[in-house]
Amino acid sequence: MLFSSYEFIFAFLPITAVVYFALSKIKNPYPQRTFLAAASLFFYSYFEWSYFLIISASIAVNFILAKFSLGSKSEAVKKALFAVSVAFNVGLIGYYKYYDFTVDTINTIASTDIPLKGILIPLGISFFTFQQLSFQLRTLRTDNKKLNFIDYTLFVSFFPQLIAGPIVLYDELVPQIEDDRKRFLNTENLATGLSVFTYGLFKKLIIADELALIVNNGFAASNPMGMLPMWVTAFAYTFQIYFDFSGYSEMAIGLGKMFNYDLPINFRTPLRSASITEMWQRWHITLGRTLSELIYIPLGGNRKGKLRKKINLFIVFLVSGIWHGASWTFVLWGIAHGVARIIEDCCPKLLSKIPTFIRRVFTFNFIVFAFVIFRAKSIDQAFNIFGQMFTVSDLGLGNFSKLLTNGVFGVPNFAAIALAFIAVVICFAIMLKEKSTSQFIDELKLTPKRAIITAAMLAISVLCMSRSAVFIYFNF
Amino acid sequence: MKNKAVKFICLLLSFFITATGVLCAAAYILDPQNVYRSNTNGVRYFSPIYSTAPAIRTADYDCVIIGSSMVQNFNASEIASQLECKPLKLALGALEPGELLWLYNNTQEQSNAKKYIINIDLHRFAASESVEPNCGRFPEYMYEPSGLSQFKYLLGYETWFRFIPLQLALTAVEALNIPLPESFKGSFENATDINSAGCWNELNPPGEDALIDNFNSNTVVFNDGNTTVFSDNALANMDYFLGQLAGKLDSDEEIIIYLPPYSSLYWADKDSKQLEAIFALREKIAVFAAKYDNIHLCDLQAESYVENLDLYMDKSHASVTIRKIAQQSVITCTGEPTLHQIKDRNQTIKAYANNTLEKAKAKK
Repeated sequence: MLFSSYEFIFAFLPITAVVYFALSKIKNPYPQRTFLAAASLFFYSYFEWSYFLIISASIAVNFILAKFSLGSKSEAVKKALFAVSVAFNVGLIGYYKYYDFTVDTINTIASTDIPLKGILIPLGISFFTFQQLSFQLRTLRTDNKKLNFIDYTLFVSFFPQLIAGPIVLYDELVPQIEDDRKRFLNTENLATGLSVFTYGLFKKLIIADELALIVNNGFAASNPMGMLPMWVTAFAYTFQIYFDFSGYSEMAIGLGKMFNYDLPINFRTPLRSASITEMWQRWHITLGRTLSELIYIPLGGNRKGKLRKKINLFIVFLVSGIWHGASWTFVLWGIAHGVARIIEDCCPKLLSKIPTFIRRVFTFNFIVFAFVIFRAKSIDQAFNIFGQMFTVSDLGLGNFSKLLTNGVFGVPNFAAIALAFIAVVICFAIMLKEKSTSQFIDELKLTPKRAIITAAMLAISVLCMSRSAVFIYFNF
Repeated sequence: MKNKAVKFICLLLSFFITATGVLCAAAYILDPQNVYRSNTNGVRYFSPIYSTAPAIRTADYDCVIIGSSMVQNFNASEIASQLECKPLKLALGALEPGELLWLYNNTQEQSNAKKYIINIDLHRFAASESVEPNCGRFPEYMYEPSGLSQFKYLLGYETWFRFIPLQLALTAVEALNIPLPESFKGSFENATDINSAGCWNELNPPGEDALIDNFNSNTVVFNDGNTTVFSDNALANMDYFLGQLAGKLDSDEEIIIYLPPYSSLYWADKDSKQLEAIFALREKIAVFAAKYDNIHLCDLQAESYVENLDLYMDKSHASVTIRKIAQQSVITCTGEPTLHQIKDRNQTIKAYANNTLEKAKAKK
């Protein structure tokens, strides 16, 4: 079930909230927690019933391994169990997400004909697998032997963060689950949560989904569109993925808040960054910290010399690319960011002499180019688009109507040019003025004016729900 | 603070509920695509994708024309006067067999239509996908606007960001006598009559030279399936499709299966395997139609005029002259060719294709 669907907003969310808070009347907290875990698993299985089996197996195996590890006094046993958990989780994600990609690559390189399986990738598998890997690492290091199955299930499956994050750490969520004060309806949190959720919903449905038309047409064009339409397409995709994913994260944070749980912030206006290093401190923050914890630090981080640090950084970005999907375009996207990050690491003093504005413009354009690779069907297509973006002899002014057609309603070319540029300008304006999620929450005042603005945003979002598209990060 | 939050939530929810209620009521009253009632005054049909489903339920008709762009320009009022019936045209470019069956089943269930004119584009049976009835490009919620599904219309994106604003803007422009810029006219359908929705410009055909030049340079004007590879189950798909048509037909109802007159370029563009596959499908339809008194076949694919490329817009779309001939043939169709005749016609088609190929080669 999508957050931006009728079923979720008008049925699942209100019913779950009402029953959940009604169960707070029972002194024992477990019926309430069990209900929330069951509702979350239902939410997940609503997409496809077989997902229930996959996530249940993943939770059960990780829980059992952790339980044995916590019960063991031997370091060797703990390490062996950790190795098993890594093998299990990497094997799970490897099979579902990378089997066909690997076989296809082998077939291409070795001219073999090993059949592909066409495996349906379970939603959110990258997220809940990384979350549990991080938990297993914590299990290896912790002295705290307390571990409860219901709490663990809720930690993994809590519906606001299950499918596309934020990737929550065990020590962030479980203490909140165990906190009895958080069991009861808190109208302030509910009001704040509703506002944040609506803000994210609006970003997703009104901005990201509107931009999807330009992006889909631009990337699907079989004939060259020309320089300007491709620049608009490239900008539009960067904005689309940002508003889509940050909108999703805000919806998740808002939903968490409604149930009195604070989920970590995932975005802090990353498109205003003055460097790639800064961008990664502000974009998909919870993935960055998980990769750091699971890969960068175990590899030695910055403790083993400058060269080793750069190699470690490169590996982290390579894994980040592969984590996003089984395609060479994601690998190249990760490599591009890794190289940029290493270059910045090599000459921080030189870069700091460049005016911030210029660094911001450069960083933003680097992000845009990298996202062209990320979105393209193939590396060939990405370079084809780059070629078009720099073909000054073909401005493509006559092709804007192709960017805005939806197959039913067309737009005359002169109107399409105006609309496309207005859309890009509005997105830039929002990007420059937008508050970060934490700023939004901190500055939120529960005034009648805000209530009416939120209600209007919610009503407009509901009007756009009939054409709602799947969140981009559901694919990863 | 707690009171403030409670007040905030109450105000938010009450404003939201009021706003959505007002929007639903406005959409219900304006009913921009005739989902709830037939309203012929000033309603504009922007796209057959959205106007077709409501028309099945709310329009007044006893004859249905279902098909692709091959029947989109059929003139409903001419058919009405000659057949003394009230026709409803349910046509959409590149209509898939599954979509066609979906429309047919819905008209069978929701109307008392007695006559069905069904255009079949044989190359659409080529794909390996099933031809089971499916709404395809038509929004499913418009077929049964009951219960929760109708909110997709009442609170729908198309309704509020397309139909209502466009309808109001066009009405205002007309009321103020402001001429609509020419560039807008080709951008969306603006039919005020359901039977005009989806019509395309059939005037000024480009002529034989231009068409052959296009053919020689592989310029695709319309996607007419020229690259299609026929799958093994094309015949099985056709069996299933015809079975579905016959299975729903009452004895007092009549179907005319219409095989449209594509130009000889269309046939020239097929390789011998594709031709044989299409011919097999044609023969299957002839055998099927012969079994029923109330199912007729109107086959115009071997008519001599298909070689006159001056009368075509592209490989398959004909100009007004041929459309009128085809329409008349459908209106007067009562019998069907025998299997033997169809086989002969297949050979004629093959000869047309070869002649056209020669012509194209000579012009290269």
